[in-house]
Amino acid sequence: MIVELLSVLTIFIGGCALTRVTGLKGWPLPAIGFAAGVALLVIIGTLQAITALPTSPVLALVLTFLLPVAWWFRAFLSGQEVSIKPIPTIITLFIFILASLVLRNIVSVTPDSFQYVTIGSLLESGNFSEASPLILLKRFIAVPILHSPANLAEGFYIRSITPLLALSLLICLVWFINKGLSVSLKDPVIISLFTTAAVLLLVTNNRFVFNMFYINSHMLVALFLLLLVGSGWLLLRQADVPQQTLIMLQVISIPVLTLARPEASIYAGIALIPILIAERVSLKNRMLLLLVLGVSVISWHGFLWIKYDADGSDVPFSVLAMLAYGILVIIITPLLAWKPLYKLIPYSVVLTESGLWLALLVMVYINPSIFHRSVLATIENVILDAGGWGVSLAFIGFIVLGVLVFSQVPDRLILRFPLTTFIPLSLLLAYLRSGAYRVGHGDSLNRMFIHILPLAVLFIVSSAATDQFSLPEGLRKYWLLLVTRINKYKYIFAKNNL
Amino acid sequence: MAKRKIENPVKWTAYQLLLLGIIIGAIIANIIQYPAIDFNMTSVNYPSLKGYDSQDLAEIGRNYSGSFTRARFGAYLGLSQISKGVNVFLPIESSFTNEKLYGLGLIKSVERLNYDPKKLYLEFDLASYEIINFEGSEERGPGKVAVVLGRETPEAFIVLKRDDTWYFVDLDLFPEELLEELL
Repeated sequence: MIVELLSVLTIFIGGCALTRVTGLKGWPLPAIGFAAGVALLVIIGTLQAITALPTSPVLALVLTFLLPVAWWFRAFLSGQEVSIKPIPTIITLFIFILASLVLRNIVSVTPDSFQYVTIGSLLESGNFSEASPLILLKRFIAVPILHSPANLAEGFYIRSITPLLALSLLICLVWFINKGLSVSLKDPVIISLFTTAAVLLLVTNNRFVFNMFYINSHMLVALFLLLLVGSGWLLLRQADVPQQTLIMLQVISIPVLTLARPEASIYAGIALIPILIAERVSLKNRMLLLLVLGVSVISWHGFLWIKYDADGSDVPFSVLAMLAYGILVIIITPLLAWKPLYKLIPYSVVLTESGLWLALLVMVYINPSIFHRSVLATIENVILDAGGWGVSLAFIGFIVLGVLVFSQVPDRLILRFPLTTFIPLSLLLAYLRSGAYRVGHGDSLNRMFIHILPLAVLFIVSSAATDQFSLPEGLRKYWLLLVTRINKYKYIFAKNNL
Repeated sequence: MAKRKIENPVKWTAYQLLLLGIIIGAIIANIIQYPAIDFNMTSVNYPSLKGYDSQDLAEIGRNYSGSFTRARFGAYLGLSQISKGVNVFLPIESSFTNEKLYGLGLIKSVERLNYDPKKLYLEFDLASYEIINFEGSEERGPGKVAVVLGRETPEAFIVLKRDDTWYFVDLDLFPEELLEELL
């Protein structure tokens, strides 16, 4: 327990120091700081693993603590406003320790969990080179890095880390809603009610609760996807938040997603597209985000390539495809500044979304069976309760659809895009893995829904700022036409006493 | 940190009221259909799970038949106590039933094993050290446990005890020569 507490405290303090340097203060600092600390640990741990450095979690934790704290001291000594108040800091630390101790009492595992902790154990024991490339390809490295310190005390996993990630996610969601809605709404009661409703909508969801304690990468991906998209949203909304904090959150979210799950780097790329077309974000920042994505993808998949090669096995197609994706992102990065291409960038949203649907259509034409079986299994999982969601997910899906049709909120493309592209993307992934999705809560897609659930809740609640309760512009035209026609016929009928 | 003019200073709109009502409806629906956490905090000072006595390892949720299962993943109850070994554990899916896993978690010595990579199963008997055929039925008792391992994918796992240490070994990580020695 001491190792566990020391580990989470190290992550927490390091992350808070980093976040404070970016200018953020107040109640969101601990939650965002913890997420930042987790990201730092993952990035440092990965650098250790893919280079010749020792993979000891002690080194990773020390660096996670020392680097940001040193940076904070430097900023403090140079006169920057990064001060912290002692009494709130002590109270926060106390609450954090208490939360860690309470939340560590529940853990849920499935067979996948054991592969994660296996890799974590190999990292700690200095035997990471023995890890099979197949396991690394499936489980990646972010979650093993988070759990590897447990091995220092003969344990296998840090029991409180996933619940703390979930807690961090909830507080970050509150922060995003609060700051995002404050741009549009004046009444704090309305904002508070919607914020509370959003949190309750998540914490009463059975699968969210399950994932709060589940040793897997789902909560990690859900948190960092929310951070990436939510920060982008606040950035575009020009909310009353330090811009540096938002950029920092985006920069650290990308590598964590890339290192957490096979499909998560695609999520990251998709989530970035609405930011790339936003002129309100500086070109330098947009290029930075793309560069981080490209470097992260190439680093990890390049490592996997070397690993497969050293193992004497054929390099899987997915590794080569992801390497090509990473290289493409790097190539696009400098082109962002090239004016002829810049004119085409606004079309990237439409091109990506229609491209995904088109690719899915092609795949369905080639092999309709995978699509049919996947769709049927997903319907059974989501609507007929085979996936453990009850009707919760279907209900949220319908609310998202309603919000999409009946509300107009500025800058919501960034929130909407990862949600609507998730459908064709996830169905395409069934083809990439060469197998249809299955019935049951262990099914991949059924578990992947949690990645976008917090985002869906943010999307729903963000529409409280809608300035009109009506059909979107395009549909409204046809609706008005229809109403006019009906009125016209009514008039004719009335006139002729019909 | 540019402050912007409030875009919509108007108080409650019909849309907001409707949206809030729908969200509250969704929350109530969540609570009614899935009380995942027992919020009765009187007996313990931490959230406990319905259907589970242990505060250790458990899965929150429901099984396929819709009821909470006590034994689900119960085998892992013992994992925290298992000495650290070659690493791994990757128990199984459908053929590896909860009851078998539970038995595995309770029994602390496995001396011999066999593994057939073609059939992807493993069976052993603690008492006689003989391979037993154990598919689809439940047999466990003092000194005897059988484990069937199988997955759709060509992965497999073996379970053994050496030098008083439990090993759940993922074959991907298991040294081939040691496997040959064991078989």
